[in-house]
Amino acid sequence: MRNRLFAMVAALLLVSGGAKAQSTSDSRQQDVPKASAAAPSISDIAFENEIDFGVRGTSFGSNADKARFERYRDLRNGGTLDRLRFSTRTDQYVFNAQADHVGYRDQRYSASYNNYGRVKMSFEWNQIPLFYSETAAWLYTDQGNGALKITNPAVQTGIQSGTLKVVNANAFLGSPFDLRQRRDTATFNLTAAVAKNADLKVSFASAHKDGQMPWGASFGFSAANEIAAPFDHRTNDLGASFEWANEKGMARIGYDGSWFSNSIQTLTFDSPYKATDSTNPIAYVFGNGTSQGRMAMWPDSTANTVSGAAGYNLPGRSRLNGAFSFGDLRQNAALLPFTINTAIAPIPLDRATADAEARITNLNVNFVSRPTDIVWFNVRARRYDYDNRTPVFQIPQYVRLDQVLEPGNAATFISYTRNYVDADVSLTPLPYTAFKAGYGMQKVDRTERYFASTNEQTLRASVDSTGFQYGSVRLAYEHSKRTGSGFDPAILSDAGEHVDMNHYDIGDRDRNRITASATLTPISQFSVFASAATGRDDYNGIYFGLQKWDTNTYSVGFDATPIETVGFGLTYSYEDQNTAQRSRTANPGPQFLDATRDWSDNASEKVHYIVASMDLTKAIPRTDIRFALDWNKSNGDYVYSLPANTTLPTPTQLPTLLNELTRASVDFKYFVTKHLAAGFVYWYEDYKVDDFALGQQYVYGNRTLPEGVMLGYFQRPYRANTGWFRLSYLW
Amino acid sequence: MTSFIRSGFPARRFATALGVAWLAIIIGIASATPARAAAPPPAAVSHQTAATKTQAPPPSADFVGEETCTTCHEAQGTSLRTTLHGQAQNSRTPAATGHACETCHGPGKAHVDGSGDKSKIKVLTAMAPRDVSDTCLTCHSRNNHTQWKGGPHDSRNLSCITCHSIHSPKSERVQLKAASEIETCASCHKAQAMKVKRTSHMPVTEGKMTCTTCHNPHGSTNVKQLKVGNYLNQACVSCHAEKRGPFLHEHAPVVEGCTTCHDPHGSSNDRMLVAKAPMLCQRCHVSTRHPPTIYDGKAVTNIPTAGNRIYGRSCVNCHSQIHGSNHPSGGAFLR
Repeated sequence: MRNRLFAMVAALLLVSGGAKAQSTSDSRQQDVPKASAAAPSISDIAFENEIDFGVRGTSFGSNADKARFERYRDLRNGGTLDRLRFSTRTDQYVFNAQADHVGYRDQRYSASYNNYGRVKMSFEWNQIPLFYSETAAWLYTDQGNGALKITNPAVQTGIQSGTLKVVNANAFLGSPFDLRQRRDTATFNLTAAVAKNADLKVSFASAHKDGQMPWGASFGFSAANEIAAPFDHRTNDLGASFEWANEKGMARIGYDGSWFSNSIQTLTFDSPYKATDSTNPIAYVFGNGTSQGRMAMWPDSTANTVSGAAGYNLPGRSRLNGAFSFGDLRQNAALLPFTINTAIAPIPLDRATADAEARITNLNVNFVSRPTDIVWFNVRARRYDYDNRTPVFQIPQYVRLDQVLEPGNAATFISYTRNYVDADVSLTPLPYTAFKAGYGMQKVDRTERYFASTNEQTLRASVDSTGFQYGSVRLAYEHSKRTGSGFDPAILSDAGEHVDMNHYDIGDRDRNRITASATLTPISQFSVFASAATGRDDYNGIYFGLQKWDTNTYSVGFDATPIETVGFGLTYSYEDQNTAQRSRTANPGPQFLDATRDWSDNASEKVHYIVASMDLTKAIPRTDIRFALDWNKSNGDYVYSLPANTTLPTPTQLPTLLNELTRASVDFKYFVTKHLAAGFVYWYEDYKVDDFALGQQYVYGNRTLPEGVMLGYFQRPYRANTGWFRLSYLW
Repeated sequence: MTSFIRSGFPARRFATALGVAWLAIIIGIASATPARAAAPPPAAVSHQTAATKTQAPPPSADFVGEETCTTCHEAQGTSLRTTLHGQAQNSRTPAATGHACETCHGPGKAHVDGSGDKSKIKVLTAMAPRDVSDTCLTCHSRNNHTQWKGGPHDSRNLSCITCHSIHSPKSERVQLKAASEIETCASCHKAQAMKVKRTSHMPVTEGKMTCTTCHNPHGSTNVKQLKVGNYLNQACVSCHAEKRGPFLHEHAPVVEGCTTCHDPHGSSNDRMLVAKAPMLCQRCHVSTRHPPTIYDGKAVTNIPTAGNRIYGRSCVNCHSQIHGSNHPSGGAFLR
């Protein structure tokens, strides 16, 4: 609270003096009710500078999920300095300064300076919180640097000795705490016009992310152990480029570097089930294995890229563009031992560090021409090569879950090369209407996948009537077919997979998609729109895995501005998707080929959306009012089915999933004087959720289960009423 | 690496065929097709300095000058001066060229002499979309705009003024016709705009990201007009750098593409997954032991049979390093 007050006061002190100007440059749009929601045209804005402060409070329904209500926002009760805009300009320059949510965890500050035609600079500090839960609780104490110790050793000794059942460990859970993280990003950009046609650009960004996140720290196949993993890492990005351009063409060279550094590269956590180390072939059953687990978190890495691009205008309204880049990714973190379990003899490492490197080469060439007014065509070629040069890492043995020694496989690395050629022809024989046909071919060569190569060919056609006064009409169809070659069944069988299965990211696939949309504006005060899209992915000829994926979306709506001071609109959208997949419950041996053990799972989801708003801008003297409604509801089902000759027991179907969010707001603003406005915002949010995996009403809600200890990051409903008194001063 | 040519793709024949087709179009169709009534050409940008902005434009009987234009079009002149186009100190702006309005609208003398005859001047809102873009690209040919020509929006007959307004922008920056960036994009991309409202989403509705955080609507060298990098994953790891690797153990679909499992526009599933786990994982993992087990209603409603492979984060309860592991024992992403 003290920090918030300090930040607000500091921001207020920064506001000194007035300036006359026109435009603000808030690059963000928010659902948080704003003082001036209806955006006038730029020439209508009387004042550019604004400071907005007030008092905000929220009341919640019982057992509301306050963290989910906030999620990426900090909406604590208290005083607010929610919005500050300051700008000053002359014929030579413009300077802008902005602040949002001053003193809160989602605060943002920015400043920019544009000396017209000479130099542009901008700086931004932006904080993005992520609130998971305010009811998380666990058995641990964070000792810093990624070391998590169970607070009360009686848990480990009790479970190991059998005097304490895991399900009864809830008595040892600590006090609930806020489970959250935050990303703080500072960005600086500079563009200098160093010559008549030449720009030098420099950018630097530093993103720091820390906090805790829900994390699986398991010790056995049947023993989930969810913890709040601490993390603290930073990414620094530096970019520099030099660009020359005139009416004939352009050329650019650039460099981009990125350095990721992680302060917590090792996560060590006590086992709730064991106080002393041991191992045996059934150590996956808790109580039989290690007293600690150790995990390698994200390693430090660097990425460096040099790039170049050029474009040149050719006769016949043609242009040739080319771009290339060459980069490498490196990661050479020291490798951890195979296990922290002292009961297992150390296994020699193949090498001490990861020595991981991938080189990325990219080349794009694009030729576009419009030889006549009615003919336009474009040819594109792209080659993207991801060459992972990391040496094979030999793993004769490894330790699974820090519990049991197992035979290992060498770690090998995936490389791929994507070659893409694409051509489009567009004809515009009718005014404002383009008929387009196109063909694309993408060939991808990969290592370490069951298809050495895939080839996808795409045909597409579209009709677009755009740019005319009464709206637009658009229709597109796309068909693509992806086929694999160089099938290597060993890739699948070595991993214990069926060879007649599909990995849908590279598997054979037929794709069909149709999209259509129309916007009609019979009069300038009214427009109506409708759109539809339907698509199907068929994974033909594959027995196991994903079989098909259908998606359909439809939208209708209108916008109206009957008079200058009144505007309203409504949009309704519906979306559904359906998938089908097949599997087989089987263990090694006869079951593996037993088709009577097959089962299917058909997933479906239906989502409805309504978005409505009404703006009354000075329709009542001195008063602006905005009403807004945002509602969406999703129902999802995963339905199991068995063949007629099944030998499997009949499954109990899963409960239907529900997600429903209603947001409604009223933003009322009364202009006491030309410069001062008083306002009140009311904001209502209601979230309903029923999730069989994450819902508190299911077994997960017990936190301590016969075979696991969970954190308590649930999907819970909430209902919140927020009131906000605001004063805005404009000048 | 596998060679593009060596692997059998008929690149040379394909390129030859396209070249022949292009020549045929230029030579054949161009000569046979009557040209549409052409609008006057845009005035060349002379890149005068601010010091010369008040000097007379290059002598041309066809130009009338800003003062004459704003005699009738005062509102347009006023609005233009509030935008970057009107800042004469920048030698690249219309205001600095000496031609001002006529930089984009072409010489105005015929229009004036015709008592405002609209057919004698370039009215961008009445022009073919690609003619409009050509006008804008006369100057806006650098930085983020270099890939406009031939890009997805260009190919679908959209122009700069489909989204931008020169004289009456409603947005607080980049002169959009709509009040916000999301509103602009949502006018066509309804499905994506709706998805960001779902339970699991990027901080777009909270104002921390916009569409252009990831996309460059003017075209890019990446897929899906992604702003950074040259392949999907490069765009994602530009923020999620911790997942970029390369790791000692890699998960194949992660290397193939983040959207194999995630929908970056939002979903109803935790972590923006395209389906709930374990069903999502079971789309690829159909092997022995636990992956192909039916995790049904009994597991989530009955404590004695509860399965840690469906409740909570499901498979990720144990396989938490699913994006890749740097642990020697991390082959199954358990450590």
